[in-house]
Amino acid sequence: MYHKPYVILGIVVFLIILATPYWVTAGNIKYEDIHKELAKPKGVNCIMGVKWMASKHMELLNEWREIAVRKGVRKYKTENGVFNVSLTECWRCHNYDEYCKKCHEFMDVRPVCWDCHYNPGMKIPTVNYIK
Amino acid sequence: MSEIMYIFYILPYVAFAIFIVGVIYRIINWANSAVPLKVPTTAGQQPTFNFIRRTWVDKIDSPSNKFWAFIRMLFEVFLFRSLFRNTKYYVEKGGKNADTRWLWLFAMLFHYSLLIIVIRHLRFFTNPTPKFVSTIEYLDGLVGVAIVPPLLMTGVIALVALAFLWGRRIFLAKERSISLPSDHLILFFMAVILVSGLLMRYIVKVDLSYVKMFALSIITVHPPSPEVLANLHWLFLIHFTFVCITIAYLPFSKVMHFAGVWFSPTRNMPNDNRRKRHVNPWDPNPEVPILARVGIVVDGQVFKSKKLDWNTYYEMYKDQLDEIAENNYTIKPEL
Ligand code: HEC
Ligand code: HEC
Ligand code: HEC
Repeated sequence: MYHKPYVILGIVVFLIILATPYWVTAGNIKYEDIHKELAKPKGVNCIMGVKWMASKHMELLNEWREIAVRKGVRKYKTENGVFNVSLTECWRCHNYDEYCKKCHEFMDVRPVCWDCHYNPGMKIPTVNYIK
Repeated sequence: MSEIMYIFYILPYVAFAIFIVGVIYRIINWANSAVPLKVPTTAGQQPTFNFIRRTWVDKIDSPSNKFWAFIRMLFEVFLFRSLFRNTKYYVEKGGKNADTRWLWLFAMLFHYSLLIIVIRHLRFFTNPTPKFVSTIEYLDGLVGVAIVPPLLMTGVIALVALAFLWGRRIFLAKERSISLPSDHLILFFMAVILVSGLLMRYIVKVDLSYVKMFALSIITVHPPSPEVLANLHWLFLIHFTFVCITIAYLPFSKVMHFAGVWFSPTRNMPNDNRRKRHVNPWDPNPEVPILARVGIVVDGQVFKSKKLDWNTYYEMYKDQLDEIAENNYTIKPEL
């Protein structure tokens, strides 16, 4: 082999790059069954089926935003009942910190919505209309 | 049914085993081949008299020592410097060189987008996710923040760049004629991976919580529960399978240029031909200057250059020459 030290250095660098997930976390990667950790929601059914909600809840909220703001539609009927078209509707059954936030942190998703919207995880004393 | 899903759990380990062994094998294979001649390409002024100006660009393009050769290599690897000097020769335009640096542009866009995409994928393989991964994703999504989920620039850029790079091989006649099936194959893999990934994020929504649990189970070597496997979306499985196939295919493919570029003699040799003697590693007696020898020795064999005389030449190629002569051509030595 020619230029052996360089070649070995190259191979080592290659292996280090491949091992990135391990050293950026200092070997601290936790396997977690996230569905076991989420707080139990109130009520029986979500707005749609669970599977649908799990993958499409952001699309639902996005659609709600559009119909509420642009068309003034404030009620949304599904097979599970009639719901208020509002982000605060979710807090009727879901705990923000123990539900939405937990899963989002696990997934590293950061919805921008809370820059403006209220959620019960916030400490804002003036908000008292959510029961 | 559910047991068969464990194939998807085994797949990445097989793919990475092939990838790692294959890449190391090819690197060692390259490292074992000698470079008999000094062949740096130079595109700048090499050091001569003090009064001949030599800028830092000349030092990069015509490095005179190992340090500058290393800098040149960094420019090659991170900025694709030789591609930046890409031009295309047109006979029909009076032998003019046309600027084809758009190839450099799209190559840069494609590679760097892909790098950022790979870094962003770390969010599936780490728990908790390191800060820099979130920051990169945040910056990536700044432009498209109005969309839910935020439109990430790099995904779009990579797709556009891929379309150009593939379109180049499909629609330009010259490039099409030099494209091999393997050139298209790797582009096809990249296209499937990119399109399935983008579909998954923006159109066909997938339950990512199970995807992440699956990814964590791979990286922590903790076999996933049948529930996780059962909840994986078919589009994710396509995406994932193609990623594994591509990873296993890399050592056999032209993508090995990520390692090959470091072995490229035209890039990694300093241009010091006149100052330092380059010794052919095959040369059995390097002490004797080449010009003083009878012939050149390659791998133990002596190659002499001798002048052919007409009669020997005619004997060697008698059949063809006679056939040409039969067609009323005059065959005679040129004097
Ligand atoms: C009437 C009560 C109710 C309301 C209102 C409600 N949910 Fe739910 N949601 C539930 C229940 C109950 C479940 C769990 C169903 C199960 O596990 O069978 C659930 C499940 C979910 C899941 C699936 C999580 C998983 O396990 O993968 C998501 C995501 C979700 N809800 C989001 C929302 C969002 C977003 C809103 C606000 C627009 C909302 N929900 C409003 C009751 C509700
Ligand atoms: C820049 C601040 C801002 C951000 C970020 C934002 N919203 Fe809003 N949103 C508003 C305002 C202001 C209204 C009130 C409009 C009205 O009631 O007429 C609103 C209304 C809504 C409504 C309907 C009314 C209601 O009570 O909820 C929905 C649904 C909604 N937003 C969803 C979202 C979602 C989902 C996101 C995140 C993807 C989001 N918004 C991000 C400012 C924002
Ligand atoms: C089971 C896990 C899970 C739960 C529970 C969950 N989400 Fe999500 N949520 C996700 C994932 C994953 C995404 C990102 C999906 C994507 O990128 O397409 C997301 C995205 C979103 C988005 C879009 C923001 C963005 O940047 O893409 C909003 C808004 C949102 N969730 C709101 C909620 C709310 C409100 C709740 C609680 C009622 C909730 N989610 C509960 C997993 C979850």
